Amino acid sequence: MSAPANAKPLNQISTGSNVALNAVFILLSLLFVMPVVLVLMVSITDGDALLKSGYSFWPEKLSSIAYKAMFEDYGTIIGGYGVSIGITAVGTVLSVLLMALFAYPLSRSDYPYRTFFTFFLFITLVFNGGLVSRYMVYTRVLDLYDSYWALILPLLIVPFNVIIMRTFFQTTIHPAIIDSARIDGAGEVRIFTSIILPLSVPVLATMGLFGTIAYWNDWFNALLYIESEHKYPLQYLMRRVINDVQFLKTNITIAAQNPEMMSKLPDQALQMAMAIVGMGPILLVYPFFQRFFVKGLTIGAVKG
Amino acid sequence: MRETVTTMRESIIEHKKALSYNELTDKRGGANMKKPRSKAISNLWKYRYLTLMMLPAVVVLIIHSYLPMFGVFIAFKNVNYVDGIWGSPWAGFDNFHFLFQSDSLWRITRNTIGYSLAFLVINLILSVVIAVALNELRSRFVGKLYQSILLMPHFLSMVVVSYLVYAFLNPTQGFMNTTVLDWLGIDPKFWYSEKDYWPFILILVNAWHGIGIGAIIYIAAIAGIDPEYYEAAVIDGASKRKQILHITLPSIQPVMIILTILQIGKILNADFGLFYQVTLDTGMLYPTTDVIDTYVYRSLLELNDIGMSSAAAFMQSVIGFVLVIVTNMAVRKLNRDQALF
Amino acid sequence: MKRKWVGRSLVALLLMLTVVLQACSSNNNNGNASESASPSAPASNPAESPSGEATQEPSELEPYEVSIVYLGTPQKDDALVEEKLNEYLKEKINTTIDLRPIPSAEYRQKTELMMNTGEQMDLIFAASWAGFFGNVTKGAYLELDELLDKYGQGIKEGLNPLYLDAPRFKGKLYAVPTNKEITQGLALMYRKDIVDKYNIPIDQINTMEDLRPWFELLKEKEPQLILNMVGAQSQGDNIMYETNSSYRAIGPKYSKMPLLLIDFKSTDMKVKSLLDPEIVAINKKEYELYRDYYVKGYTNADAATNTANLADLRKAGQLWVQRATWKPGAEIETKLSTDNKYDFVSHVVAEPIVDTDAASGSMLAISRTSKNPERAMMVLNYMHTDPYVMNLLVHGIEGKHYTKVGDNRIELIPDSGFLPGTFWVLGNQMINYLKPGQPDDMYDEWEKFNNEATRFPLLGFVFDDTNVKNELSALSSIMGEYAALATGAVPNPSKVIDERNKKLETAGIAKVKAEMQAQIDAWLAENKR
Repeated sequence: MSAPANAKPLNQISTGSNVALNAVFILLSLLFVMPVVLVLMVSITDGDALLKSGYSFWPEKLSSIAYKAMFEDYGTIIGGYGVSIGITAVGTVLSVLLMALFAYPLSRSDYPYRTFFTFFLFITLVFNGGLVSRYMVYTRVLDLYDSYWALILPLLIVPFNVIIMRTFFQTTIHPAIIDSARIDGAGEVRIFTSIILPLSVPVLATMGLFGTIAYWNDWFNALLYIESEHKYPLQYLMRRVINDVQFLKTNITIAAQNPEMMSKLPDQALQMAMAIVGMGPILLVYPFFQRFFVKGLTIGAVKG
Repeated sequence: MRETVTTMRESIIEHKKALSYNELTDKRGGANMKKPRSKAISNLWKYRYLTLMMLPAVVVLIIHSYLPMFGVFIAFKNVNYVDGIWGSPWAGFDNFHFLFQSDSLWRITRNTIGYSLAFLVINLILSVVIAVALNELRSRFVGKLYQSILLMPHFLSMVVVSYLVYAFLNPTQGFMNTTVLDWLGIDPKFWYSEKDYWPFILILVNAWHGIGIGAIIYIAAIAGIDPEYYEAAVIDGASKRKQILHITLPSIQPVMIILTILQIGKILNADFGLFYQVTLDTGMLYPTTDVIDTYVYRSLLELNDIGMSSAAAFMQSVIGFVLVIVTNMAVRKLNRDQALF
Repeated sequence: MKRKWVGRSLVALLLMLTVVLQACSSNNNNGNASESASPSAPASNPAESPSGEATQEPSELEPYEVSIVYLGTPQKDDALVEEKLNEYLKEKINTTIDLRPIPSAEYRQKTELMMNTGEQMDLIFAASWAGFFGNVTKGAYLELDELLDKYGQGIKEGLNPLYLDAPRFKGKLYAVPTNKEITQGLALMYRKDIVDKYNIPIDQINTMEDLRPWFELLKEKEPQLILNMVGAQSQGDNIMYETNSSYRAIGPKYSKMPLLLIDFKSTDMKVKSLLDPEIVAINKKEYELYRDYYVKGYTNADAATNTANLADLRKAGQLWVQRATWKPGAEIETKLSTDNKYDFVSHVVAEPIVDTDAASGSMLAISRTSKNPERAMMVLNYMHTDPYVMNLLVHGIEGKHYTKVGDNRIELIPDSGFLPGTFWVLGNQMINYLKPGQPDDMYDEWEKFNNEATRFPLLGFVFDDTNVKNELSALSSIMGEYAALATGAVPNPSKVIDERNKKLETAGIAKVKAEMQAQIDAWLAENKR
């Protein structure tokens, strides 16, 4: 008879320990979150105040110029959001699926090719053909220039994550379960979908989170492969604003001939604003994944 | 078929029994020896579903990693635009010389390996401790809150981090000098000129940046531990400490080992952003902050020689590869299942 | 054990396949990578332009699209401008244009990738500071002498002849510079209000040493100013050599500091390195001076790490003097950059010299992969002679992006959707409309300036670094490590200079110096001037 999922009350740490632990975590959280709060404050600090008094939690003068500069071309920014969300959603789902499909057979001790494929995977982790050759393959062989696939493909399989998944499958899935399912007459695919996947929710959620972060933050692939304005993801657009700002500032000739541009170049505040805008969505999505890092999901597995 | 609740010892015995059952069905040895050739084909057929499952990922890997693999040869060539990569003349090991002729070779290698090891050990310990501790908190909601907060630094790019560090260590306006040292009565320091502090600074920054996300893997791993083990332990009267030491940690040990092996493969690589941006590329700090990646970047900034940068990357890959093989062999000797292959 | 063996050998097989593929393809020289080779046969030397096949008469010209790859931020209305250009040029030379702007920060990387994969391009922006000469040796561009003669008459007429001396390698021309101010002098630029307030005789201040009494004075009287602003943006040797000698940099610069120098007034053109006693003396004197300024508080304390933007500091009123490049109109530009808050005056301390780097700071080249170089040259010719084309490219469409307020003057419409910032990037800037703040005679001043500039005796000489790459990489790293010397933040600069020079010696600076000297001697012999 399995114990109910709330076996916790029986096995909790003492109140004293709990208080102590919480205190430590509160302190730690403060240390971790203060810099982020500072980033937020700087993003709304006026440029001159920044120069004079540096970074401060209580800025002398507030200014929303950084956000204005970034969102002024809101048509493009909205488009960027759309692209990013689309790419992230499709990419993450595909990525988790493909990686799981690959990792599972690797975890099966009876699968004869597991060493070969592990090696196959591992080589890609260590050896890299380099940017130029990859660019050549993508643009010449695959003809993916200026295509959304060029943004999805590079991040689909992350060897590091595949190996972690394999390890998870190995440790959390009791071989007896698979055998009993086989005895019951289930085929490999069915075993995968109805047993393995449900049991692996924590690791799938982890990889989903990692995938989301990777796709959302990726700007480099856009830099390499995208040329049409409407296909650019958010991170790239924001980064481009910053780079242009910095380039303009170091090139006084151009700056001087564009007095209008000069007035809206807050540089550091802009960087901070970009960090906040980029981080926001992920932090909103994160609680969704957190739900799956919960114990007790494998209960009942070894039964029946 | 229902199993009864067993004690911790008994469940382990069950596990072992199951293992030996697996070994019987294993193709190696045992009663099922057939002739090699037809065995290979029958294997392929028997495991066709599993193999097909792997196919999509294999295709992606071929496209994304294996096809471009020819770029590795750039390290051995003198590439020009007219002949392209394929037609350019071979250069043997010429492109590698700049690495080994350098005065700084010992320094950058020592720094790179030193930092990699320090990061590995410290982040591992801290991530695991955090994961275990979060798991023990009474209120799950509060635990999730802490988790989210600890994750935040990971999302800041190293450029932003460099600004933050600067805000902290700025000689005139920085927090350290104006507030902390002032309070302690110590004279302000020129942090960006004092190379000896930087290993600590960088390790600290790296930990701050990385343990939030590092802990997640272990949190997920802990979530996957069968609660029955704990129930059995409680019945046996084991203390919290014993539970952690004998159930939690051993259960996540495979993950710890795998991650360590994989990171050893990257031991000669470093987080470029951390070592270049956060240090503001300050020359005076190079003796303790210059790593292979920053050195190569600096050396080739003006030269723009793709062969030489490929050579550096190739060397990092080869050495990393060898190290992983060696480490893996060592791990195999101790515990075969937990090795990479 | 056996299984692992099989597994490993299979992977090894895979790797070997790539080697075999490699070997096979190297037999078909040029096969995969560059499918769009120009009509001329590929060779391992920079390609020659094909002999004339295109005709002169518009009616006989085949339609062709010339792509222009240049440094600029993609604009919303790029397509509109393109359309207008197409209308015009189709009529004239049956040509359409494909504008391909690439943001500045990505320019080098993207164009390198494009060149490496043999992508088809026609006109492409190039500059000495963006790897132009390296790309020339790797064969990225076409030779232009013949094309220029045939289709570029307008270019030759408009450009100061010194311009065409610069982008040459082994005597052949590989790019056409943008017509603007050909070089820049070095000046000390002051805020007018401070100069007036304290009656500072700026015309007599010619070296950093001369500023000393004024630093002393202003430290007392104007404490809010940063007297001697040194930071990441102004790092490097600043005006050390120019104000203390007639040595000028030659060859590669690392962290904005040269390894080798040459006396441009001398007749024997002997190369000096940082190890030569005359240079060491200059270094020590100036770095000690900077150290003194730092210790006395004239220089900002965070000189070694400061990343603040000069423009911001200027606008905030914290600067009073700067080392600046100078050309006619520089003071006005600086004033504009402070939102017209302050006026500036300057005194030139180093005469403008036209050297290779300066004259090749902004050029357009024709890519080896162009399918119709003649047409590309024709378009380039238009860019140098036709104000309509130029203003379209740089300012946009009249009425939509700017309004005409005078015969040759315009005012830009803010937020119009077209502001690429390409006035220094393309063609002939002197036929552009003038904008608010620019004096009427600006272009005349520029021409005069160009004509009066001194010619660097080695204009047109380019250093080929193939034989000393290893030494250069080590030297580059060392220079980076000791870059802070120039800021004054390093105590005991003379001692540290000796330390650095010892390292430079071990890294092989003498070999680089000898190589440079040999190449210069050979070049001088060939180009007897």
